[in-house]
Amino acid sequence: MLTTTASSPVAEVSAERVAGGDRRLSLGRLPALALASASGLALVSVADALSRSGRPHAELLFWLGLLVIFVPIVDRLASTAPRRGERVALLLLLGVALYLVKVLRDPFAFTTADEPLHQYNVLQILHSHALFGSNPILHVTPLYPGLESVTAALSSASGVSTFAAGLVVIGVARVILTLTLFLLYETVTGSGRLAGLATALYAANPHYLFFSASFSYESLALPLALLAAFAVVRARPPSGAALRGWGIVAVAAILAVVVTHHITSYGLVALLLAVCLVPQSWWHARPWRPWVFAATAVAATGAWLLFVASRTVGYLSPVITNAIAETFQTAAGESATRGLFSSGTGQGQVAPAWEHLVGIGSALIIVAALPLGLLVLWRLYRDQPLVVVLGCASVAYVGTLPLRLVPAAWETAARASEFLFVGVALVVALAAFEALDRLWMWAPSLSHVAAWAAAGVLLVGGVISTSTSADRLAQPYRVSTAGADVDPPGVAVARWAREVLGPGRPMAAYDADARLLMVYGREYAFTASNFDIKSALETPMLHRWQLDFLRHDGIRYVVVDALRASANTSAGYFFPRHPIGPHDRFPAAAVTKFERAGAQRIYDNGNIVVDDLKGVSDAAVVP
Amino acid sequence: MRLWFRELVLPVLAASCGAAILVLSAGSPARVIAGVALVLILPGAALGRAVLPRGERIPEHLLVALGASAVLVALGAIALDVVGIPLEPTVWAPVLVILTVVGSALGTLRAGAAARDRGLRSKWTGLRLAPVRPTEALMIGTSLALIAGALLLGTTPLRAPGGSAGSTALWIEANGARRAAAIARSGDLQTARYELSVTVDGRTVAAAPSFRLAPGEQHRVPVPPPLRAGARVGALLYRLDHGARRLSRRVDLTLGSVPLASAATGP
Repeated sequence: MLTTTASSPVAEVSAERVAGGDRRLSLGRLPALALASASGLALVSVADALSRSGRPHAELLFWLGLLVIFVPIVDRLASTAPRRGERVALLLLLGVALYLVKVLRDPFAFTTADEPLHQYNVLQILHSHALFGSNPILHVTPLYPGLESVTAALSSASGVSTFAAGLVVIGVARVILTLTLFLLYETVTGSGRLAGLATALYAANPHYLFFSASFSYESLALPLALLAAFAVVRARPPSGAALRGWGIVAVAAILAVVVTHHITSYGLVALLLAVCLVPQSWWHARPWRPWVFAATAVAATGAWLLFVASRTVGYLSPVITNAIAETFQTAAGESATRGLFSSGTGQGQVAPAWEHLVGIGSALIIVAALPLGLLVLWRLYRDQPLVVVLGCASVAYVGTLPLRLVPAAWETAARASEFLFVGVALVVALAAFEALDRLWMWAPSLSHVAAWAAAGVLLVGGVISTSTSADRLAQPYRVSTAGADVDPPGVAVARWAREVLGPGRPMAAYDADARLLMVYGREYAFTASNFDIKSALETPMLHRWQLDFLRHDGIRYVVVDALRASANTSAGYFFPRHPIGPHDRFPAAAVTKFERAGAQRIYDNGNIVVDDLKGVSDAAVVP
Repeated sequence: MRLWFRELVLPVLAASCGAAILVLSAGSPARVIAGVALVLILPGAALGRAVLPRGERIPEHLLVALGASAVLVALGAIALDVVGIPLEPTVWAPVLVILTVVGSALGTLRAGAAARDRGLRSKWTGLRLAPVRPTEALMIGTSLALIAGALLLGTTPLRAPGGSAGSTALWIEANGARRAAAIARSGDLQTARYELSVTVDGRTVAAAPSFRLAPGEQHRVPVPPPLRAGARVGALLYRLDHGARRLSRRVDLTLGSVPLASAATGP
């Protein structure tokens, strides 16, 4: 049972309990805030248009648009005025508006690193009418076909493209995420106001704007995992109907998470076990422990790993062991630290000073808010096991912040933020109410300004910490010319390969080109993320062992791109925005070596050529 | 009477969507709506009616409708795959209709007619939308217009930045072992003039002097017969700029060496 003090900010909102029933669907401030969000979205769209056409001032409009979407809604959610229906509607508005920011960045195709790989899996399902195909770049993805099977079902049922179907499925996942976060927070805290603010603050999680909105298995698995957690919480006795009904939903959601994403399923197992193991107060005669659901999650995850996706161990273990090893090396001063405020692809861009300040400021706000929030949490919710676990998650989040300085661990740490921020958002919301309500009694107008500023810094800082300027804004993908709309050269090569060579040919190419070959050419493309392929593409001479390797994998065609951007899965899909200089190209010797060894150039579009290795003789390569 | 009408809403909707998926052409607006409803909403909504305790409110039902639909489709796909049933529209449509109908029927059976009626009353009675004022309607209408404008601008191709360059592609297309053509296709960002010459075993056999290629257009130069199997066909594409002639693209093909697209099998 919730215990509050009379002066607690949560006390006043606890009057608006879950059990309370307003029966009138009032719009409240929804129309005005919808207008604000639409205006923000329009600003972002203009910013993207400026970026796509190479004009200045795009960044300013982008940030302004984000703040116009986010801050007014957070301000409204923080007040006691909205009814439950308005809170839910505002949160859905916020979630969908921020999702559309990502859609506007990539309006023509999936262009982040993993998206084309999942799209290829969907195409495989549509082509073969079966699951568990193969993926030449990310081998484990076909073993977790949850996202792809839903997308393929929608694509085949409605007849829309896999891109359109993917956008709809991830949009629905965003709605599920928003609803489930609100209902979960509301159920465990008993406060709609707290739940609304915490759900909105979750949008300040560094990966919320782009990564969580990308067409990737985690984007569906995390909402389903939270749905499972919410259903488990609602399935508690004494109500038999609730136990049965929500229990069925919980078990189904757990199974769906297991078949959708490996890490999320492990995270769900950890969450459920933690809820079972949290010590509960002695006055609970029969403390509630969701052992049945935890056991179901453990058994399903273990069985899937053992009998279907055992390859996952080999996929994940190097990532984890490298992260751990390099963390120790960095701590011991044996490895260099990673520069902050750059994307993982490291395009050498240096973020401006204000971005450093805001990024660090957002982390400091979280670190400063946690002690106060945890204090309130302990005072009010220590008998709620899930809230205690979420409090621990918020502390773990702070523990992951230093890992962003470690090159091999930063991505793991950043990806963990999606999970741990579920706790951070709740604890920061608790701290915000505690602090702002005290400030309100002292200086009401100042409390509003402080809340707006803090919310803005949290959101902007989160986006800054995981993306560069080029990653945030749309880039020229489909461009308008006098005669027709033109797609990038990499897409043209892929379409040519499908048309002339036919689909399914094993090929070698740099990372971005390989992904385009898979989606638009339906080719079986090996890429430079494989060490041997990378070597075969980059060395100035073709060696015998490289040729043997290519032959071993049945690779007859090599797509050779002279531009270094083709090795970059952030920048490699687009038309270059600046004139190409010598430093933007690979050495000529590396580009022409296959032809020097006897390969035939069967396609040439300037920067990209396709070489046929059939004519390469062993005598022509370096022994 | 009213009760049975309500109980039939989901099954009838599902059956209509299923029929639309099987009958209407791919990508038509009605089929898109039917596909979204049948894959992402109706099965979960039916499951929610079947299992959720009475008294749950709209957000909970909406959550279960969307979440459980994704769950059922994901798990259903694995079940179908395991028993060897192909995942195609003619399978998805009836399976999802059946799931929805079974969920609705379970909901009806579980509650019983009278109890269900009371449950529906308790959930919906007194729920009404507050009157929408003209200013609110104006704001909502403006919001929708702004969002539509933002999406329209976002999905409209624009002129490329100044530094961007397109690409004109050149290749030789073999048609069997003894016929071929050289093809130039413009993916350039502006119209340009080209000259194309074709060689067989090093001897020039065809040429296309000074032709224009606009973006998206292609120019095809057939290689004159007779051609022997194994002949080496080459093509050179020159770009003509203000009287200057610059070699732009070059390709080679040994006839019979490249498999035809129709022979591809996939991995």
